Amino acid sequence: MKGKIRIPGPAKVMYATYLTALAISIYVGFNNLHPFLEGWRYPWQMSIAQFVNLVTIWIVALTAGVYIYYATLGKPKGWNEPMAWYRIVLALLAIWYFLLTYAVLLPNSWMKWLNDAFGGIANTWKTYDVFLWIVLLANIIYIYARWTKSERFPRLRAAAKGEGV
Amino acid sequence: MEGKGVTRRQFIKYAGATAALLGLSQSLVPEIARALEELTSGKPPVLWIQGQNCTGCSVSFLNTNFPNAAELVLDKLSVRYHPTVMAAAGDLAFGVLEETAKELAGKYVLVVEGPIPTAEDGEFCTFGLEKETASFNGYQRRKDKPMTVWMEELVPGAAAVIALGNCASFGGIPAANASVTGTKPAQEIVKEISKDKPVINIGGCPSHPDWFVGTVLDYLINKRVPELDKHNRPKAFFGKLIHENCERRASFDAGLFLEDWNDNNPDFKLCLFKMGCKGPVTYADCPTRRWNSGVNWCVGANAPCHGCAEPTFYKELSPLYEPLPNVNFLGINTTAETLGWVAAGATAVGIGAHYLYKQLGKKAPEGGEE
Repeated sequence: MKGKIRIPGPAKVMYATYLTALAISIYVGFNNLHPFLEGWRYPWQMSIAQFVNLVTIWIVALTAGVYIYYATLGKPKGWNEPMAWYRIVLALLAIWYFLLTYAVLLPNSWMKWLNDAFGGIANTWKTYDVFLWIVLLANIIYIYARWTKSERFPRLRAAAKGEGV
Repeated sequence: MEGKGVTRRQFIKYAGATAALLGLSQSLVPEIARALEELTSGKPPVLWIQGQNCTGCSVSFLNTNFPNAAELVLDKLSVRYHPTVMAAAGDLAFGVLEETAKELAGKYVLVVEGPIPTAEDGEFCTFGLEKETASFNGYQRRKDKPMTVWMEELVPGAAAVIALGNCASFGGIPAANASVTGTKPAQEIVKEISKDKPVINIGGCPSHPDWFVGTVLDYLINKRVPELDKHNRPKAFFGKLIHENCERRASFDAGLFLEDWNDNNPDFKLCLFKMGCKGPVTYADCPTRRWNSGVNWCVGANAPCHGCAEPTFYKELSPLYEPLPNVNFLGINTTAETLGWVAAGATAVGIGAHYLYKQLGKKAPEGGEE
């Protein structure tokens, strides 16, 4: 019998925000590298995509940063959710992903140092391409692994009232 | 110069044009004038030998305009041996090489075009004949003289060695992938023969005539090897990333990429990065210097930069029209996309297998379904 898992409300909201922003940024990132729309794309399409990507990676980075604080120094009582170590890895990965995306989208910004460190923008793009997959798969694996720790695994249904998640 | 009907005013104007072409400050005009004068009077001897090359760098060199090639070869420099442009042939020509190596030791500049094959005792690339004879199909004949032997004879007496073109500098195409000829760039061979001999690498496929002429002028003006980067390339020509000065940089920053060669909007000057442009990893001054006396350059002619000035060309910067270099990690050599799909497939299989195992192994709860 698995124990009841309790998660504070703000942590749930934060994770939902993180996951939504991450999903959008990964979609836009892949679209930027391997366009899903073939042929000519209008400038405004790319501008909106890049703007959305910038906004979402800021959200991803901020929620990841807050999570790290929340899970270590400011841990609330009664938070007994398993796999805390995995979430910290995901949060660190998200911060790296933020830096990498920033370097790709705005190569001459304050992230120019990362492009220089990689020896040119093409290498940053290559690394970004690889990390898009790593971030995507690491999060998918987490979602599944976290589900296996749930009371409801292996049944696929929403949590009942008062039931742990 | 006066003897050739060149006035002082014309000569200074000419030096000014050379300074402009080399991207040097006008304040250096007197220095350039001195170097040009010194070239005319001193005629530094140059030996130009060719290894596994296509002669493209020689052809490119012949396109130089300030000074023009004929002037440079005959008047300014004393090019004693150049297999493509010299009239002499056979023992007469090779005699010049041997004679220069003996009589002008420490004074001549050795220009190497093309890398040097070392497998099979260097017999993949030979020119001229050795003194000894060997049996060949039952006949006694003089042995072919490999490029490696020429290097052993000519490098010790050279004031400096200039590796011209990407192949001579870094191995280029002959050294890419499985090189059956055991190709080595000039600097590796020179290091084996004479450790402290200065080697200047002038990359490019072909190399720009200004890069060679400018390096020679720089050497004569300053009387020392010009400032080099970590790959021994003159910083004056290879100091800046092509991407930084690219005329299509604005398109890159705006995210406007050419994604189909059949795009009918060439006037939009879309960034060629996704069509394989290696400008973001290539250090050279092509965007500002341009080619064919400043007429155009690769990206200007709607062709992506292939990174031919880089040591990683051709091996690591190919396929030439692929947007990103391959992922090369732990012996895996593939594209990020392929790697990603394989990892995604493995993840899906792993998750599916785990789920099925748990689902099949689960006992029905007592009292039936909830």
